[in-house]
Amino acid sequence: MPNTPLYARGQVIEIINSVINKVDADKSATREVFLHLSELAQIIDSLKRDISSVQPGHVKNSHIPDATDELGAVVTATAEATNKIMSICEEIEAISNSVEGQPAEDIRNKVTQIYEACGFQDITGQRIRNVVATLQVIEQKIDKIMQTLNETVGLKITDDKYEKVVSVDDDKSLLNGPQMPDKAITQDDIDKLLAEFDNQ
Amino acid sequence: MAVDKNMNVLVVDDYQTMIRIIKNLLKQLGFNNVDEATDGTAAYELLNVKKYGLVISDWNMEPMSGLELLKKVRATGGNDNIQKVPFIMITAESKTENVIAAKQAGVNNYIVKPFNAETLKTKIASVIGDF
Repeated sequence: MPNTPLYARGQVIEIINSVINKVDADKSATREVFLHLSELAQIIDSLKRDISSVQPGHVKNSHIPDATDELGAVVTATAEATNKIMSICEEIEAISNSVEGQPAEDIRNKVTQIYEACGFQDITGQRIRNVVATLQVIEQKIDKIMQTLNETVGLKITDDKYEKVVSVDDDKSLLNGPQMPDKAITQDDIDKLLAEFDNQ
Repeated sequence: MAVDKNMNVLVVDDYQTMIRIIKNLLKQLGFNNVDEATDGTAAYELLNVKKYGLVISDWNMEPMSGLELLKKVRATGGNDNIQKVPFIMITAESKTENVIAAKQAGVNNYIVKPFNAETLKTKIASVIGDF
């Protein structure tokens, strides 16, 4: 960590302008260098504002964890669905034992094809695991960039979580897709809510 | 020599779904004595307590991968039941380097996911004989 004090944007520009004014009279070459420095300071300042507006803290603390949770939910949901499909196939296979001849053979062949198709869950699971690993790498990189910017140019990045505001008056905010199980309301909750409207 | 379909088969995969798929396909092929393990360590423990006629293993597992299990199996001295057990790798790892590494480690055959029942049957037959 550098021990140099941190200055606000206005202070930096003020200092540079002050230095420029002092050397302005005697050395034109030096003056040119300071003009470049002044330009540089403004670029850094603009960059700091741009980075702040991107809100990397939100990306790290909200967007990436949310994406990871969503992907985890995909794996869980597909695993549950696949197991259910296979359970039904096993039951169909058992029923096929009570049928004779070609129909029994046909049923078993079709069940085999369903088993084969269920292999998708393993493949997609592995692909999603790879994506999650990539997200973790991105998270680490953002963390490193935030730390470096804080140390070198004093860029303060908020560590708070991003909470999307959902409003009944904003149609766009209402489109969020399926909710995570711990955040979703149940059908019973929905029925109760609707009943409350009806009773008003 | 005729294949004994009553032999013990060990399926190793960290995805329960895949274990279930392979077990069902094996059952359709007539293999009913099928055990399962979710990684190489658990599989090796089973190999030490029971004689298996075939191991069908995934590659990408924690803490012990399928390749590590294969190497450990082939390096097991003084126990032919383990060291020489027919070993088929079933994996999504489909690079040439993977196949070469598995072959060098002593794999008997290699099936890439996704696979079908016919491929499974053909590869098993190529390893333990027609059935």
